[in-house]
Amino acid sequence: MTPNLVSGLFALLEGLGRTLLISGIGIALGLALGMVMGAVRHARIPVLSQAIACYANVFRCTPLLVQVVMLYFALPDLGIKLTAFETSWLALGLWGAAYHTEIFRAGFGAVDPNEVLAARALGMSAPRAFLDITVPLGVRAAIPASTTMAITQFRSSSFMIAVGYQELTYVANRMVADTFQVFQVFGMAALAYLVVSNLIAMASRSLEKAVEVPGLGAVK
Amino acid sequence: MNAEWTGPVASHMLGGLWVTLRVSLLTTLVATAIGVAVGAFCASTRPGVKFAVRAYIDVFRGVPSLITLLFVFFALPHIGISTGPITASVLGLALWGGANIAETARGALVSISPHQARAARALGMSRFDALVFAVMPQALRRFLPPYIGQLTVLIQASALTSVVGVTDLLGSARQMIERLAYVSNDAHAVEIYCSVLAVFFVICYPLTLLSDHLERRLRS
Repeated sequence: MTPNLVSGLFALLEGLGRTLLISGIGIALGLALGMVMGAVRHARIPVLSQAIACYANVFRCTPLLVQVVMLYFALPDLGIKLTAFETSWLALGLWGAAYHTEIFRAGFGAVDPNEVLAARALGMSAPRAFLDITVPLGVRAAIPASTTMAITQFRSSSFMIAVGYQELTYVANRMVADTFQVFQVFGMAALAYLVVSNLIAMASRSLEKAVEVPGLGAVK
Repeated sequence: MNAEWTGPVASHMLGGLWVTLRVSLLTTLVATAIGVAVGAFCASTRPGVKFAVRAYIDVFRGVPSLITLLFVFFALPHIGISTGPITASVLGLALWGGANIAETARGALVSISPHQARAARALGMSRFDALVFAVMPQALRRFLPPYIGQLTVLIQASALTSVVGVTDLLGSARQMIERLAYVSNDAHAVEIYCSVLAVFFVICYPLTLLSDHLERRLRS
């Protein structure tokens, strides 16, 4: 029993490692794309802005699971072959970017327009003012919501079971099918998801504190 | 242009759509019942009730929906209850969705000034009547926009049932692609998965618009 327990725990940890890997890449990709697309939406660049709104709506109004399956099983017909690993982080990133876009657009929109006007009055060009005034303040305002989304992305990495990527949920599911230890195995997996989610939330809160602009608590 | 494959595929997928709609509706009903009841219990002053309610919300909101679905799917037969995969899926998704809805309901309820409940109590209403007839109608306006957003999440989550072998819209699409790949060299995976995405979009996009509309009306 004991060697089984140890090897079981080891397998779950390995799964958690893969979950963290695809979540990490997916979250980074989602944040980067979301920030750029949110900026385009905020600047209302014609055509591009509408195209991004369209993208965001399509990805937010369809299930991630279908997107994952589509990337993995339908794209080869169009000549694009992705491995399960590539599909996993790409799907998480593209899906998350749709939500992060709206979050950053709202964040940039929450910046007091007078701040930007003041920067322009001091002679800053519009792009300079956007980069030096709107982005630093807007990103700060977007931290809580984008953290919530990042945690959702992390949890949704479990959907990659559909393409057979061996992340935590895949490993747990396999283990339960083999050993029938439903409560122990899913209990451990759930605990792992809870712990990591809370760690991300805690890290985000201390980041928020660390970059807080004194006297500017009103930017929300 | 040879499109004779579309007829049988469409009729099989209509059956899948019917399952998806049934699962979505049942999940929504059960999750709403759980969510509103648990959300109301958050107002309880008994420490035991408060702790249990908080624990349920935090644990189930913190784990992936797929984990709760798989857990219920495997745990029910384990404790001697044999149900079909559809019932298990509905229960698993509803436990997860219920925790999310409960958190929304709690937020809406505590946003109403406690003076409202006290005034109702002073008029001779029981605690239950004060909650249901004085506080809840006022909280409803704040509850609805995020609640409708959560409904789209639950509808999208119904696609997860295909992981445990339910022939829902996604499951039926997959079966058809496998069969087409078997009988001909073209599986039409792109067209079939795009139609699945389109169906979910047609259902979820209007709900998203409604949620945004209610949210804006609430702010103004």
